[in-house]
Amino acid sequence: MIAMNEVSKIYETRNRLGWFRAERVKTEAVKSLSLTLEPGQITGLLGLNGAGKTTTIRMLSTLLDPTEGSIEVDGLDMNRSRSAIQQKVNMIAGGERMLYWRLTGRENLHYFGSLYGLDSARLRRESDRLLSEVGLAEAADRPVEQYSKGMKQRLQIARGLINDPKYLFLDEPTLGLDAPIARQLRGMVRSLAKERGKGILLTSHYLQEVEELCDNVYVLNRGELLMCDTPDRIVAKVAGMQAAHFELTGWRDELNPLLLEYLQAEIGLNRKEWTELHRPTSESGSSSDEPIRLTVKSRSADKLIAKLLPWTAENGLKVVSFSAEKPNLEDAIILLSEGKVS
Amino acid sequence: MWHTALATLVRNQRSNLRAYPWTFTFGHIIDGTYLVLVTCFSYVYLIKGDVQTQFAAYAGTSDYLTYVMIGGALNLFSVSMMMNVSRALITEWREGTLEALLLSPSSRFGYFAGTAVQQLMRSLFELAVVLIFGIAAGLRLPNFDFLSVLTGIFAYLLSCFAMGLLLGCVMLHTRDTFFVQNTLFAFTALLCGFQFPREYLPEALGLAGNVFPLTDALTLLRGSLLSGKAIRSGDVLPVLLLCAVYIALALWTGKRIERRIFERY
Repeated sequence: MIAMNEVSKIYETRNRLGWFRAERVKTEAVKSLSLTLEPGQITGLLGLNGAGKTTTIRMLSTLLDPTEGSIEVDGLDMNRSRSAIQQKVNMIAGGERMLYWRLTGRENLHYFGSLYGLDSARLRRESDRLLSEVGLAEAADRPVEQYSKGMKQRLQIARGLINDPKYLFLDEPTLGLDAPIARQLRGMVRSLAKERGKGILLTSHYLQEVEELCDNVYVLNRGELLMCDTPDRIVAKVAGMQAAHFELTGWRDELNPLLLEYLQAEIGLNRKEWTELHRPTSESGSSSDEPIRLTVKSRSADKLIAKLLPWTAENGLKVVSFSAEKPNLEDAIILLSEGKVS
Repeated sequence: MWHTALATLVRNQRSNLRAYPWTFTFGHIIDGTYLVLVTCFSYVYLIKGDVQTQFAAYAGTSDYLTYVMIGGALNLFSVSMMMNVSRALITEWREGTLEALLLSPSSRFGYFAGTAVQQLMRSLFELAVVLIFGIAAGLRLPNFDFLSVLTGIFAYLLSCFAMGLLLGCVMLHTRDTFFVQNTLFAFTALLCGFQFPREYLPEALGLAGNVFPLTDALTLLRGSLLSGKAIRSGDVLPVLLLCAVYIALALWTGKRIERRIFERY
């Protein structure tokens, strides 16, 4: 397990004020952040620009020293066992960096593998396997400068896996990629965690990606941890419940208590959620032919719809239409970073 | 360490061959040839072979042509070696590969050693071609002492490597290559005695030249080449000690600079 304990990072920069004068400016990029990452788990690190995500990843990947606090990887302290930790971790960044463009894909993997002390037989075996896994077997002997952006990104993933790291840090891995390639990469990330047991820390500006992949999400703002939970719970806590909307005909007033009873029994809506219940109203009073609109808020609108559809049929109601309204992680993150949620 | 050194050597060789198939080497050879020709023309047409006796006393030889050609060629060689070693990490930084390199538990000394050996192969070839031109233009080594020359070569290579390492730290710290390298090369060209005996310099400048291990290494190597002067362990020890100080200082500061390279906010 990776444990980051009360870690802060202060950057000290010099701003020139003239030819001979400069002032020192301190910027606290990460403030007393504690974080854990388990093998087999995908953890997201979210926040707007300048939130401290890249600094956090760079500290975890041994590139930066924390100003305060400690980082432990499987019980090894980063200050004392840097080399041993470097064998266990690797980082993949979005964009086209971290590769030698004049070398071929295979030569890149051979070089990076050598830096991790892999012997030549293992180098050949691992690079062949990885190149084939990322779909670059046919382009393996072409210089990287001839690769497309997606191919370079896939090679980056292979590079990040060359030392078979137990923990992998992904900094915007799908940045600028086409949708099909991004989807393929997401599939790969999921299988690395779920099938091969790697602990993955992911930062991404594509919040849908984080929502889809991550078991757990840390939300940072200006270096401070605002929240840590599953994506669903963060959305529910911050952006409110999902809503299921029904247009029904044949509604009778006596159905009101029955509906509430059913929802409580089947869905387990709690008191707070009950108060979110939009009771059916009809513009023309009690006419059963006019469609009425029923809105129920819940953690999962999909589940709610699946439960309510049979109930409407059992009670002689006709469903004209239904829809789900779901706030997403993006809504939650924007609200959090704007400070609109306490 | 050897793993990293060998891998870096192979990587650089491949990259160089793809980036500069032969033109880069050819360019260096032209520089060297130009140096040989200028030396030869100034000796024959400008000073008309008339060398002061003071020169022979200072240089240990009256063969001005050979003295300057060897000095000039070794200057080009040292610039080429130091430049390649010193620019290695900052080039990685500029090309966006430094993060991937620093993420690995690889030996930094091995990395620089691989870089230096790859550069050595190219620089030796260039030097050999230039010396062949030199021989055609009048370079003569009648009193060659083989063992001493080998010792001198070793001391000279080590000096280039040690100075390149420290220069690289300054480059990485200042994020500059052009100004830093050219300032150093201007000083070494003036103070180390490549083109003229250091005794011609004012005393303070002569002493300042001792800061560079290259100065003594050049004196030893050129002495063994030109006059067959034997190099004793006592002669080479100061060079080795100064190189050890340079290397230790470079590795110590290099580690600290590497830890701060991604700190610029």
